[in-house]
Amino acid sequence: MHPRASYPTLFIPGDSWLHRIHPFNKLCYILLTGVSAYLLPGEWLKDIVLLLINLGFLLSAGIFKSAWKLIWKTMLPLVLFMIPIHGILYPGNHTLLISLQWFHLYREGLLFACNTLLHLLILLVASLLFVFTTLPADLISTISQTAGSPVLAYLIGSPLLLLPAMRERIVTIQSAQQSRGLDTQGNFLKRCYGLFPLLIPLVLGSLIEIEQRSVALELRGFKSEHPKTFVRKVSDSRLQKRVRQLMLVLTICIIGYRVVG
Amino acid sequence: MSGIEIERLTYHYPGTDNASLKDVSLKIPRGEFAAIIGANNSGKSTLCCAISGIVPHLYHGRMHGIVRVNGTDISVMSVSEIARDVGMVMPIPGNQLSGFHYTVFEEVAFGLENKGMQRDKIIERVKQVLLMTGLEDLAERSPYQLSGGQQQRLVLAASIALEPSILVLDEPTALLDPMGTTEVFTLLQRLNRQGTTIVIAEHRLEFIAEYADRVIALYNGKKVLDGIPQDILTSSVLKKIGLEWTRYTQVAVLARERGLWAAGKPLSTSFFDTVNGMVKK
Repeated sequence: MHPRASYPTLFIPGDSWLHRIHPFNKLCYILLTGVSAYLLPGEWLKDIVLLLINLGFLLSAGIFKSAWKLIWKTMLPLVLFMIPIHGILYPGNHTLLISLQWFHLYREGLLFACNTLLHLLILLVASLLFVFTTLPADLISTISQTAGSPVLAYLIGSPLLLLPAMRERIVTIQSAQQSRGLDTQGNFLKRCYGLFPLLIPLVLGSLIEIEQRSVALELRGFKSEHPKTFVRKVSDSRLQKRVRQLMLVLTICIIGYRVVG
Repeated sequence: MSGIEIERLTYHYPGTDNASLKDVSLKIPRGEFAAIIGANNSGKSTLCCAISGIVPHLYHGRMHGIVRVNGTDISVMSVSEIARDVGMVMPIPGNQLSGFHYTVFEEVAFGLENKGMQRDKIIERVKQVLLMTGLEDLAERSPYQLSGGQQQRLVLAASIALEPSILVLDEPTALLDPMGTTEVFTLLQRLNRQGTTIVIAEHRLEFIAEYADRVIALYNGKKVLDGIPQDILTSSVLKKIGLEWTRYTQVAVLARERGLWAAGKPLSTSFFDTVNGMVKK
């Protein structure tokens, strides 16, 4: 097994160019992508180009397959909810596309839903580029070294740690409850009923774990105001710094353009 | 005085009326290997937390009395300051890992980084501690790939790396097999011989009999016994406070009832003493 294979995060071990990029560059990229998607003029063409660029990055980093699983699981419920809701209820609806008795689907709402979904998809893919190729240790270490605040670093890095840990915990609790006769299969109502015996131990267990972990961190001087040193060195270069600055300048320019324009 | 001094300590967890510790006073001099025993909810863990400053700094609640570590009242120190003198190991190792270091090496180095130690010295110290705890071959593994016992040794290594003068352990062998428990106690004995004060809350009385210099028994938050292991672990009071004698003591008692125990010889707490105490009828 790879030494990092069982690390409880979304990180996928690898040695691609994306894995080697400084975490701040990837964060700046997410920011630039988000700002571009929402604030740059033009609708479909710009969004599709942005999506293709991001998908290309996924492919080149060798993480497309893993990302794909997460993308469809995240996007499918959104698609199922947003398309009918906007198709029927969007305030600007006037061009009827489909009419089946009481069900009327409009073109404007459908386009709005698709555009919103496309923006979300672009942001999701850009975020996955970050979480799949960045070790929380690198992120936390970088933020601690730059901002000088380990607490802030942990606050930003902890979602990367907590979500996969909670996912593992859900599987354990589910298995334990099923072994005691809890039925988590079947129709919607049965599944809803089965949620409570899963949620209560999940929430309580997580709270206890968080409390104990915070105590353990405190005992190891995590919040100490003493200047810290770092064994781990995150690779950075002049070129990466320049690219980072360029992305930030572009982001500010796009925001400025939108505000002024 | 260096070591631990506790004066009339009473502590209530937040929102509770019943005190978890009631008027506990004790002194543990520097270099002593002290074991805290007691049934569940007797106050062992709370006492450990009080020595390491978790109580009242992190768990809050109502506290009366004084806890001094190496002569300083811990109520005027932050937990980080107390941690320079007192290392603490808790029962569940998984919850004590930082969660964001992906190798055993980095996990051990974490506390030293927070101390601001120079990088090359950190590397040297971590290697030393990993060797001491038998984790040197696992240095590049993820902490989450280790077994429960290995994780507990890792947590212990992370604590030892900071070179505390006092090491407090709350049931550190709860997840370990007998071999792993022996390894931990042997390591603690070694640290103790190097001058570290050890305070351990533990259920396995056989190990306490073998390694501890002193045993403190708690019952319902009160200190009820305090003395050398031979006296405390063979005391008839143990049963009254919800504890059992070690199986060696039980054999010795049975032997005495049947006239198989040397007259005047005190009850034993170890295998060899029990065998040696037996006489032919």
